[in-house]
Amino acid sequence: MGKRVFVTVGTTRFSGLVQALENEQVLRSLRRAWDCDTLVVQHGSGPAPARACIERHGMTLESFPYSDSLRDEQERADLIISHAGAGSILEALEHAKPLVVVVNESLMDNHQWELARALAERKALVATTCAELGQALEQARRHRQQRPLPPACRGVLTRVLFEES
Amino acid sequence: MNALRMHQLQTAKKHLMTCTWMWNAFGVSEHVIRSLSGICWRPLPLLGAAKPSMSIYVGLFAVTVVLGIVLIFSKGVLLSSANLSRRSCFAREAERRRTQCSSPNKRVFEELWARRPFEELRIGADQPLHLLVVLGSGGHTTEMHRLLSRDGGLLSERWVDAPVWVTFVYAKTDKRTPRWIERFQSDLPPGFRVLNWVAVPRAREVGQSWITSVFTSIHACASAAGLFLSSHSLATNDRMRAPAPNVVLCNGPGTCVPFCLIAFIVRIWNSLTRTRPASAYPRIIFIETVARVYSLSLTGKILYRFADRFLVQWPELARRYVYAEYYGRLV
Repeated sequence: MGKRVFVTVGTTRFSGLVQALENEQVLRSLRRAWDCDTLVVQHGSGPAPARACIERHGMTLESFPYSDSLRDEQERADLIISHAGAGSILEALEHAKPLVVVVNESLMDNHQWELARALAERKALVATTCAELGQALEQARRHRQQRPLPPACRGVLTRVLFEES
Repeated sequence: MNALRMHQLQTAKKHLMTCTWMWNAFGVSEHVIRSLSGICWRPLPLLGAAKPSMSIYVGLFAVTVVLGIVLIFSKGVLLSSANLSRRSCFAREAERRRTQCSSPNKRVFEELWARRPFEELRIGADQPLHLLVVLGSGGHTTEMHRLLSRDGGLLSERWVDAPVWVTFVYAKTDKRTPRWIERFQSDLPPGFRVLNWVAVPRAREVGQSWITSVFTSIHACASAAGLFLSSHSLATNDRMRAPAPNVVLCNGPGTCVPFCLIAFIVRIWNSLTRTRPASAYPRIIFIETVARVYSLSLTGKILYRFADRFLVQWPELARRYVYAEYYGRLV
């Protein structure tokens, strides 16, 4: 039984990540290290990755531009490769799946590094760039101790609203 | 002293006094400058130069510039005595904790505008709570969804005596948020009701030029003011008159800045006119997005002094900013 890998680029486009999925090294590490046979790609407003490239490595590709809820895809996946948006990262971490975050370096004000770096320091995920995705995938496979994130605080907003009113 | 020297002395002093405003700007009094000019000037007639005033003038100007540069780059550390000793920093922090004043805004409001303690203006848990929730695009909306779906049930459980209303505000150019609101409305916690949702123009699009963004900002402020003013007579679906929002809740999109500004103005206006009830004094609660770990977002920097409560989600930020409160990750 092969594994299922889910790739998400968020609400806009991230062509760097989609192009990285056509990279030989990335596909090889997905196939060999992660034993992937289905690649599910949410590619946003940019183009989908080339199907031939992926099928040459013995994987099948499922791609769609957007989805209202990525929840069930994330639940079914064995590995999530995500862009560095806060929403995607937190949702993926909720499902306690191995997570590789690819930071978009082409964004001008690149504060996306902040969250990815802080969580990578706490060993909750593996942060990388488009160029180093292949190495990061193998690294994430080798050290598989990703710590689960401590749960979020509940009731803080209620408390604040009660104090204020 | 002959007439020539007398004349030289006069002109030189006159030139020197042109510098006075510069020195005044750094807190040097006029008295000090006068006595200084007296000292500087005495040896000058001995030099007998043709232009006696120039060298001193240039010299003083240079000193002024250097001092100015030093003061600017010291970022207020040199001038504020509170920062001189580390101990007084702690004392100030302790004083802030003791008075439970989370924001300088509230203190200013108490002392200058309302002239009565903020406690008197409490909404009360038996009064309806009307949240104005500002949604951004993408990540901000997701975060707000997670926050409300996690805390909303708890809020409506504890706010039993009065309804909790929500007005959603989102940017006009945002196509996906209305669908999200519809979805959110269907799995709303009991006791919550979405009164309406409003599309407003953005203050500044990504990559818009600064000149045109002035006009769009004014447009955004006007629509925010319209929302606050019209909602007193707002007719909702079941013919009920809703009060204006009494809490502005935002988590960092640029759309929320005009709303917070208008809320602040509304509050000042209501306190000047002594408007009742207390729910006419909108509070501003800002929750910094979880994506900011080491520095505040631009919206956060703007609202840092305006918000009544300023919540951050990383301890690094709370350590860096005095008025920020950290309770843990909220979304």
